[in-house]
Amino acid sequence: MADVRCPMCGKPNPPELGVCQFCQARLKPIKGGSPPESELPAPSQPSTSKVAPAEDVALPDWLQSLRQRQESLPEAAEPQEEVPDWLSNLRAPAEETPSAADDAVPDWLSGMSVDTPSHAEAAPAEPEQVFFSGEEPDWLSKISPSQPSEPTEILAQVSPGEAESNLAETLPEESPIQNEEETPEWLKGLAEEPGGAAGQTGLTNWEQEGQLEAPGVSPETQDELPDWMAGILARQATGTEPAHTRPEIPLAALGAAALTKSAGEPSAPVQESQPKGVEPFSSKEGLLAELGALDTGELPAWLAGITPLEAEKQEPVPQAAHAESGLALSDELPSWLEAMRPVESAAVLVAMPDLSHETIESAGPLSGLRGVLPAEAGVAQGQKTPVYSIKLQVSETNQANAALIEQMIKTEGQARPILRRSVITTQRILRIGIAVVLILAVLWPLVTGGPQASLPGFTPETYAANQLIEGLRAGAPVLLAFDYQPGLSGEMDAAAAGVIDHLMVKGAYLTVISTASTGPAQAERLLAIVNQGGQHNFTSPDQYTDLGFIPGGPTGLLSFAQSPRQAMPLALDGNSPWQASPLQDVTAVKDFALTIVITDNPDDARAWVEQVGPALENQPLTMVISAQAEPMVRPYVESNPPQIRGLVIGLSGGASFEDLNGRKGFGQTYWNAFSLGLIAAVLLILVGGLVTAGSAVWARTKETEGEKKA
Amino acid sequence: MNLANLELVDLVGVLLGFVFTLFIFSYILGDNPLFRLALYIFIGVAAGYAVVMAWYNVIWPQLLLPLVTGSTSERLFLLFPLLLSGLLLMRISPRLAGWGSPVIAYLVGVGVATAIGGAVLGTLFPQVQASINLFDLNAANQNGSNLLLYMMDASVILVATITSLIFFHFGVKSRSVQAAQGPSANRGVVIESLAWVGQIFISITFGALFAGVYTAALTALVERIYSLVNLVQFLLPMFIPK
Repeated sequence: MADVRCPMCGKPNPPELGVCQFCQARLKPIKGGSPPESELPAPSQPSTSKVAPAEDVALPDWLQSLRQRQESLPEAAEPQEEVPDWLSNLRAPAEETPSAADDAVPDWLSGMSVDTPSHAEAAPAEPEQVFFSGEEPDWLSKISPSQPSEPTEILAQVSPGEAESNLAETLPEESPIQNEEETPEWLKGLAEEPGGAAGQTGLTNWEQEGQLEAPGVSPETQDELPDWMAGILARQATGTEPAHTRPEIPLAALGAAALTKSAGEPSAPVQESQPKGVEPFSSKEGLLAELGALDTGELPAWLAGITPLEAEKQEPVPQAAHAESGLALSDELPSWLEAMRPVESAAVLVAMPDLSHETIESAGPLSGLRGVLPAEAGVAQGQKTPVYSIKLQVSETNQANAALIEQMIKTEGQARPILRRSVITTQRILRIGIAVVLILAVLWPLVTGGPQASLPGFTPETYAANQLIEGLRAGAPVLLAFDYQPGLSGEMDAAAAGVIDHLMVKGAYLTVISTASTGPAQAERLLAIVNQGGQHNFTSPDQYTDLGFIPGGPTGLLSFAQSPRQAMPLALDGNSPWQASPLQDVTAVKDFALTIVITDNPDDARAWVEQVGPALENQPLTMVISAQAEPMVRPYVESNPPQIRGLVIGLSGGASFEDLNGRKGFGQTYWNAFSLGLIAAVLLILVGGLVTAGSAVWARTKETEGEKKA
Repeated sequence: MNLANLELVDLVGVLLGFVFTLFIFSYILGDNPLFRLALYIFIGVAAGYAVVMAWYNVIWPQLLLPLVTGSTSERLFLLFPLLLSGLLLMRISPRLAGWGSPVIAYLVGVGVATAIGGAVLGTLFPQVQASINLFDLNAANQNGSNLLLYMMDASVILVATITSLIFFHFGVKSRSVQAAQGPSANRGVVIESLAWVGQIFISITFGALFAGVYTAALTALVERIYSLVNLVQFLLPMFIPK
């Protein structure tokens, strides 16, 4: 026989085991009445045909083994080896100690065992009545051809002697049951009437019905019986049917029928006992515990409630009532057969699928079970959320960079120590030497007054500037812009002093303006110096007016060029110069007779050319510029037509302009010192260049010689 | 300048100028606190003077005073610069700096437009016309110049202008062409040659600028030494009895 797979864990187990050797689950159901309807045995019904192979698969092993033995040995009454554990446990002690069982069996049980053969003789007749009634229920009709005589076999497996011995073995010697003095009356009655009414009442209804209905088999229907049934009937008729082949009532059913049946409720005790018998998870120990309760000498409550009188009151049911309808017959089926009706689940004996490949549940209430479906696919298959480390992964390179940045930040907050340089260095000596040479070159002419250097000749643009001023009429408004920084006032004062002196000589009305914030102060200072040096008496606002500072750079210049009165409504002294003569006629920048810009910045000169120049129209624009701005301003002078009519450039231009006018000013005063200092500077440049070139040639020669030696 | 005619305030100014001149000259020996002191004082004085000039020369006479004494039209006209000035002052606070952005935008826009317009109309077109007119023989005849020298002068100016502009031609070719033809591949041989000529003129121009800067600095040195000598000559009789 194939291994039996555990319905719980799915592991294979030897067929002889009743409990799974792995999970201790019951392999074979205790209840015999829950197989499928097609597999339910008909009580004492002879087998007329073999069960289909498909049905064999669905049968439990123990049922299949019983049926096979029945088919092979239809008349065998020997107890089979493959019986349910609970039956074998009951039978085994009886076989081992039959004498002891006889001694220990109470009278009522012995009476039942005596009665049993007599009941068994009539038992085969009952299935015949059912079989031929033609009104049997559907489920029974399905069972009848496939389950020939399993109940009979089951009953045969438990002989009366075994049951008695089993009970006797479980009962203690001091059991009050053994003491006849303490034996209940109803038990005594059972013992005194072995074959009488007590024996009749000890049988179940269906057994009694079988006894009654057995003679009722007609010859017509007997012809349709199978051979084995016919043989049985023949033996019954002749009285040769062996007693041990008669179906015997299982002990449980027997006990239930004998001990619990009441007069008014013939089947209720059986039904109460059935749940215990079909409890799928009740263990063998549980059953033995129930039986062991008898050892205590105290009958259980359900057993104590049964009195002999109630048993005696049971009267045999008239068989005519059972013969009237199959439905009535089915209602009066024995309790154990009633429990086998297919109204219960038939899935208990369904072949278990192979679950060996399934995984075993490891957690939860279903732990240990195999092939358990997950509650929710997504939840069961879901994995634990991976835990990502929040710790910053810093590589060595990052650490090095971070350390470098940290070091840089630290060094930013620390005061750097000033490197001590040696007081005497070559560069410092050279710088001091050059300074001393230049200072001496400049200082010498200023202190001693010689040597005298010839004044520079005037340039065309300087001459043009002189002629433009020379052409001014007295009181002509002249716009004079002071747009140079104080740092270059030494040069610009020397260059512009001659021009301003010339303007004062001509008696022009000077309108001073500046795009630099320091311009008005520079203008006031230079006018004061020239006024003092040139023996002039120019005062504001009669001879000149200072409009002050024009904000906005080129934009302010453009605004002033378009509307001087609106751009500069007030003079620096707070008065309005536009109401008095000669500015009362000036409404635009072109109304000025001459515009002179004094600047050291080529950008300022360009701004005046670009923003104010177009507004001047044909009025001349003259500039006094620094020597450093000449290369940038000269294109406006060289252009054709020239955008700047006259140009005085630096100290040389001022000196030449003064020379043109025949007046001595700063230009001629500084010219000697400037000339000697310029010569010294040229000499220094030449010496420095020669030294540098000589050192380079000497180093190259030395290198060449070294290569030749090498 | 005759120091004897100066007032006391002017004389103090001359003395301060003498001291600060010596502080500045101390830089010949290297960076020192006296030089830094003079430098910081000049910067501070210049900034303070600029503020004073802005208040007395711009804000008060051109903005506030007209609002008080001006006509209604003048007052209404001055509300616009007053509003813009107030918005510009909000840039002092980082939270309100955004209010001054429109004013800055207005100033930048107006300044850029003014500069571009002036550069185009005041420099570019006149200089182009001047370069064209360099070869105007009628102008040469009117000036009475030697035509040969005039044409040479004009030719030099023309060549210097063209080659200097060519020097600032920044054409770049692909790396493959540069690798195959060398560094000169960015500009053709002709352009490269003309650029080299232009580089000469530019170098001469830079030399002239340096000479002008040196000349200006030397003039300032002469003026400062002259002031020192003049002051010493003025003060020396006071300490040396005749």
